[in-house]
Amino acid sequence: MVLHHSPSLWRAARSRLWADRVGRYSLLVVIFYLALMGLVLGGALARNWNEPQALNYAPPRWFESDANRVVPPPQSLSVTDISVPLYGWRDPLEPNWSHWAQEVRLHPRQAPILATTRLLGADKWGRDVLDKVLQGTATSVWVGLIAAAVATLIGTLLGAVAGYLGRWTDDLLNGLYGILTAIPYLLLVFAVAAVFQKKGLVPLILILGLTGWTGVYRLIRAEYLKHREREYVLAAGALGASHIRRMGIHILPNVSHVILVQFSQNLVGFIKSEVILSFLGFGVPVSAVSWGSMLNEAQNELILGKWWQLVVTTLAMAIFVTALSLLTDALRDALDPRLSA
Amino acid sequence: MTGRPLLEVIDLSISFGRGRQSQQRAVDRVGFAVYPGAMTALVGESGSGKSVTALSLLGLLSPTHAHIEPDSRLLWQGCNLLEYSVRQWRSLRGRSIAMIFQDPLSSLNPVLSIGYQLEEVIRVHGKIPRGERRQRARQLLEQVGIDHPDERLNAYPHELSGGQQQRVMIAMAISSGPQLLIADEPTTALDVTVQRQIMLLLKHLQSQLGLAILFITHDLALVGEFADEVVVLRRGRVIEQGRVKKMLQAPEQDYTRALLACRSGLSSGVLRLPVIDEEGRLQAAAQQGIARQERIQGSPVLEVKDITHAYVRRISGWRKMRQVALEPVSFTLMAGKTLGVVGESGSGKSTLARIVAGIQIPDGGTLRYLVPLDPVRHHPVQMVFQNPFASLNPRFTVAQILLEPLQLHHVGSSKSERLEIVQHWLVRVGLPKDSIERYPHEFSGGQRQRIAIARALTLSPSLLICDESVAALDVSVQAQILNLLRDLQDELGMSYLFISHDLSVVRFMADDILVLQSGKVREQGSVEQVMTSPQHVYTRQLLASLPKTSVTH
Amino acid sequence: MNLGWFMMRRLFQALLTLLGVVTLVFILFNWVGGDPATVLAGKMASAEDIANVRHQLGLDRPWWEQYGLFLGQVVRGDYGTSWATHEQVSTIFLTRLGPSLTLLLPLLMLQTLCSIGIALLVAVWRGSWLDQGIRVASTVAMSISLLVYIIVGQYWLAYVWGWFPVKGWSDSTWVNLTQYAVLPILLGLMVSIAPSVRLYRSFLLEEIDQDFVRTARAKGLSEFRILWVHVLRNAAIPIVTDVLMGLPGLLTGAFLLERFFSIPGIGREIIMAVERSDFPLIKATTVYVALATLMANLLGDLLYRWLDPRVRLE
Repeated sequence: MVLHHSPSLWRAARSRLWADRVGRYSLLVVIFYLALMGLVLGGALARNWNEPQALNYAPPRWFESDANRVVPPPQSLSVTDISVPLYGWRDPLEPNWSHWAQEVRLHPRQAPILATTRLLGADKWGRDVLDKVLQGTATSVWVGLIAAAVATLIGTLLGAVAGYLGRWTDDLLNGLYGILTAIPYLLLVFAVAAVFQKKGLVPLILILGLTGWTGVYRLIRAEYLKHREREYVLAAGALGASHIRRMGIHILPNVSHVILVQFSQNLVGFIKSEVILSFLGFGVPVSAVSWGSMLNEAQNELILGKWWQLVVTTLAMAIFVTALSLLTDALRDALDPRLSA
Repeated sequence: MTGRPLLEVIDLSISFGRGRQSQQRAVDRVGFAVYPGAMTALVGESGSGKSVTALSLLGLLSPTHAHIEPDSRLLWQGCNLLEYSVRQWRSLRGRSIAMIFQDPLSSLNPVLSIGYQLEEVIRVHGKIPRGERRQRARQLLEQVGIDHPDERLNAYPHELSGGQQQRVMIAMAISSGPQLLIADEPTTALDVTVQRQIMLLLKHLQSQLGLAILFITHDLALVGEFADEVVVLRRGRVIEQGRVKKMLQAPEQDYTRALLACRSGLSSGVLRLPVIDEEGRLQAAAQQGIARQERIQGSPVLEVKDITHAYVRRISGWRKMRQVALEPVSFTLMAGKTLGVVGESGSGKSTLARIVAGIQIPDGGTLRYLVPLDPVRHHPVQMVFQNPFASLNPRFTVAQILLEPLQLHHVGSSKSERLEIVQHWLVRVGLPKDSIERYPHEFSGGQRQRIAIARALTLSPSLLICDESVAALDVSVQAQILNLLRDLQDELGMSYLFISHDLSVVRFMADDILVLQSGKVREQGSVEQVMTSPQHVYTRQLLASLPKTSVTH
Repeated sequence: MNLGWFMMRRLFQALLTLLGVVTLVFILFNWVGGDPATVLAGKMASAEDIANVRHQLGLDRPWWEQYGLFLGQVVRGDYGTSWATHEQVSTIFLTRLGPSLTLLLPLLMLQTLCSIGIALLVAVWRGSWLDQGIRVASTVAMSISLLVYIIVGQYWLAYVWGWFPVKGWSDSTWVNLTQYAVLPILLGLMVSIAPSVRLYRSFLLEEIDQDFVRTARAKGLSEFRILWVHVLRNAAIPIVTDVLMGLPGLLTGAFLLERFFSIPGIGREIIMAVERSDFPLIKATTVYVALATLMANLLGDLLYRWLDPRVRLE
């Protein structure tokens, strides 16, 4: 299906958005975050987030200078020291031991020199908070984006079908909508999270996307219900346009502003949900980091007085979500069809 | 008019929009006076600034959007209203100057009862004790001609008919004995027969209470029959003002003359209406047209036999209610002829249009299109809708709008051939060739309706259905579109199914007339026959509701 | 329309929806997530153990019998025992309801009152610095995760400054309301007020631009009366509906508060159940909360009819 976007109306909306100072700056911030996400996912940034870069709990550089920190002597690493009581069991790897020990001697490895401070500090394992927050931002935004895309797609498709066709299709889909909305959103997410035994990004995206389409569905259905009776759609019908054509080519561009606003609203919601899920340990796997899992670590660090990870994560998230919310509002105003009429 | 004026408007200028460059002057140095006990009409087409002027008289314009220029003066019995404080305004509103609006349903609070809303005004302004307020409210309802006032007091606005709602608005307006009543298009949203009753009520109250009325309208015919004084506005300026009788008989300004001509022409049996050009001057129509009698007698194109339709509404659970929209309707439409369908809201006329257009399927009866279905004319029936602002897809360019039917029916072998067809029709309906890449919102209402007509014509239909196609347009634009439709009919020999609530427009367009009321055919016959000797009571009512303008042109 | 008919129809619809929820839960827990027996039997279980558990749970029977069993459980309100604590699920649910309500009812009430108050202020002076300021503040407030409010609030207000108890719960409702629930309620308000203010503001503004407000002004009414009688009376319809529909959502929505402040409510129980894969408990909660939601919707519908004469008499 080809979308016939009218550049004129979209251009008018774009210039309205750009003329709105809040809209312009929030758009720039969102683009900046998306660019960061792209760089991190592409491997250009924060690739070594999971390796220690500094001493554990190294403070931010501007907060405490290097001179106050004492560098502990590097620990020597030895493989042959292993002597674990095995209670009569035989380690199945025993035949390899001598070979490994030789390998280690042949390639002496320098213990990494760990910094005493980092720009934004380091966590319990000495991982750099800046790298972590970049990686966490990428994960959270990515999960939110894909889940919002899935939810918006499902919601739009079902909403369009229900609103346009009406009758039993509408009754059926409304029934499904009624069932899903009878369960409060987070409870539904928890229930689905509970049965998904594997943790990972894909289940997480599916959980959010498959449960979160109801809002889009409701609005798009109402729009299609309204537009179906509009004269321009009746006119298209009188000219012989098929139902698919009326749904996709005539009505869809006219409700696209609703879809766009819903998408960005869903994005905000899903990012918040992901943070809560990951915080509780039902979200991203241990091998990944997101704003939620960082907040989880930060919670325990705060009690020890190590506040930097909490502050950095909160700021990263608050700036993005604020910008996105403001952008959603600005989009809603800029795309309001009443203004272009 | 003798005596001191009640209200004097002097050099009133109002601009809209914030910031210097975006300011738009809606009202430009307007001046007129309203005298006690007289009905002064403020007449103009859309964009003339008449409603803005009316709202400014009660201080109801939004201060953030509208800006009244400093040298404007509104003298109410000698005091400048523009210097009033908030408190002074409030004691003026409802007590000395009252106002009623165009759409009575949305102007009444939907969740409060009629009685509550009436008593509220009485309480705010009057010194009537609590116990007698109900009685006073009852009296008021009786005064404006509402039956069973006791029951109506407990009713909610949506339970009343449009005419009754407007009567309630009037009752609220006169409750505190105001000296001036501003009526902003009070009858535009109502059916023609109701319209007349409301006007008669206003006229009655004017004489009975000695009320001055400022009547805002677009309808010169109503002015001619009811008003005493008239002020003609165009694009925010006063064109002409004076006594109604004098002005309508001998208008001094071209614009007034033109406005009168494009309405009164409807009744005088002319073939083309005079139109108004950009500068507001009167122009004769470009083409002369062929007289009705001289048109070639053709064969029938459409035979409709006993068509019925009912809407099914779910009222509760599994119970459904059938609401009859059309009782058996039959007619035959001849080639090159126009059948006019007249009816008020709820008469089933739009349902009929949709059935003939093939958008809706009738419950019973037969439709026979007697058009040779040659391969080019795939769609012999096309339709032009009422609202030109809603019938064009706002996201399509004019080119996309006009090309779509050609693409759908594989007319023309290449894009360039199709574009040629499109351009031909664009020029034919009177639009510039370069409008093809533009979007509907860049056009005025009349131009949009031309686009809609061009779209219908691209498939060369033999029957064109016009469902209230000029109802949303100003009278001057209406005349242009009606002329265009007649030109096209003379040239292409199409038949029209012309549907309207406006008997005078139908009289101008049609050869035969079909009168519909609540789904039933009340009368059917040739125009002359129906207009000169109506058989059914309802037709006579409709005819009687046509304003009796004493104007001869 | 006749009220009895209306109630009958809505009850029937609610029942159908509930059946749908039950079916959804059944499908979700029996098939989507894999074999529940492997979850219950644990990680070290042998094939024999698993087969045993399957038999116990009735998983070796055909699906319609399993479905029938589950329906029976729902109808009797007996979901068996928790896999983790072996307590009766219904007992767990009943004992956790009290603390949840102690926390949530005051929260909902305060939230509604504050939101309507602020929304009225903002709607009257819309476009002013107050409106702008509150808009920006609420956008920023909404963008910070509830987690951060809780972590920071609990650390500073309770732990460092000692204004409130860090966590805990007592047997006395009064003590709970005046001591343990105060900080959680305040923190809950921080996040929940902003969205409601936005919503209610839009409800109010929708009415403020209506024609009947212009009529009221033309009648010479004071701005206060216009707002209080004409605008608020109309805006009350969506507001009341929104509050009622939001009630069941709060039941689980406050789980973070309950977890951090060790309040033995339903929300905390759910999180623990998800952590321990305690399926009977999650299933029961889902069905119960759905039932509560449907009842709230029904009540909302009735109130809506009572408030709006246009619907009432159709």
